[in-house]
Amino acid sequence: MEQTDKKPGSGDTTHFGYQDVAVEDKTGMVRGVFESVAGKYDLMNDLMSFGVHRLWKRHFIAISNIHPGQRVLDLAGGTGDIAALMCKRVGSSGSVVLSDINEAMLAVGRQRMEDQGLAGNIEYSLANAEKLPFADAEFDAVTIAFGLRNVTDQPAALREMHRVLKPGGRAMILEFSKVEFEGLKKIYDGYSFGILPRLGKLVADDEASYRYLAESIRKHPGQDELADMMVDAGFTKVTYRNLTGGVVAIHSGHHA
Amino acid sequence: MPYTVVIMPEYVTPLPGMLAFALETAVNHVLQMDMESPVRVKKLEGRLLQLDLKGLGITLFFTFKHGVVRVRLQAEGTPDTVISGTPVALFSMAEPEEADWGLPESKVQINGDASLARDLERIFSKLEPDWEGPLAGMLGDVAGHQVAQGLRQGVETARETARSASKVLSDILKDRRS
Repeated sequence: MEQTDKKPGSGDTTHFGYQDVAVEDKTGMVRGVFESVAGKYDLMNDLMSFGVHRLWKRHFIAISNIHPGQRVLDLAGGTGDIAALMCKRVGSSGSVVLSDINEAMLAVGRQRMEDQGLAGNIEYSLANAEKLPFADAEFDAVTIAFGLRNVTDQPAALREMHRVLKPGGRAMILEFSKVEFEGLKKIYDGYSFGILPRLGKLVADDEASYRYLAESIRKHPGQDELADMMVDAGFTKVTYRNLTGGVVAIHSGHHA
Repeated sequence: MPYTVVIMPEYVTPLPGMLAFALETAVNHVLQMDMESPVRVKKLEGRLLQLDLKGLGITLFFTFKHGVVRVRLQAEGTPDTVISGTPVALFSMAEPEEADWGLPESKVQINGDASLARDLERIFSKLEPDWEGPLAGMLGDVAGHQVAQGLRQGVETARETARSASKVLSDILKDRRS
């Protein structure tokens, strides 16, 4: 599986779901998907996961060891679920930067944070995870939840996450992963490719975007492969834990 | 040269796969309650443990990577250590005070590098699971504390049950021999 540093304009291709597309085209195509689903993103997530995505996200933050006073960055933060939980953890003495490459998703996130009365310790940043507009060693923790698989150059994003972390800081990735137990795998595949796109059609009138989501999950690196990529990006103490039989996994690594 | 160990062609039910999946999930879940576990498990990287469950005819292979224990029905390479015993005997070894790895009278046999079994036993005996932290984060302080307390009691009960089951079985076998 290629997740390598291919350069735009070089004629290299990368994957967009199960399609091979030019490297320079992927970011725009992913943006198109998320602009299309932004308004109903949370509703679809609830339907797709039967609400379990909320438990995954809560568990993700519960084990993050983020504490009051810290400065943390949430990449591909979309509609702000993770950032909202982190705001409560860092308190008024800390700060959270909610970042996304997609303006439509960030606007939904900003609105939702304001609706929840979360302000004062939250900043917003329209940023590409591959080229972060932050100084070296600026954050105590960096998170990315259900976003890494949509990044074109994942090794570059991991290196950037490592760069902006303070020494001793921790990066955490929550992402769909590989189910290895055959019994569960069959059920999961049937659901992802049989039911999920139909749900997308029914609820958001957007079957193609939800088919892309299912395909992009299958093209994403498995548990060990992503852990190896984190080691290559410079992280130490890299480990992961599976949730729901490996449907999703939480990877973590430290800046030495 | 590495070889693939193919096992249990006679098993037509998904039981071994389910057992491997359940065991892997449970072992890692408990290990990950202690922040230091991944570092300890990482030291076992590259080693292969074979576990023969007597009576069930099931063989499981344990590998270790990125601080995570993986349990599979097949593995590549020659196992460093082979542990065999009945599920009851193996379960009773979970109680550190009862563990008698490798002793002549032990109901659990170990072949190969016994240090791997010892290292594993040490990892589990050093465990200090933080039941409360993640649960409090998910359920709130009060509910998290209560559920964590229930889990701690559950683990203690399971250990006690294992200890009693092992003793009862041992007494029965002694009675039959005499």
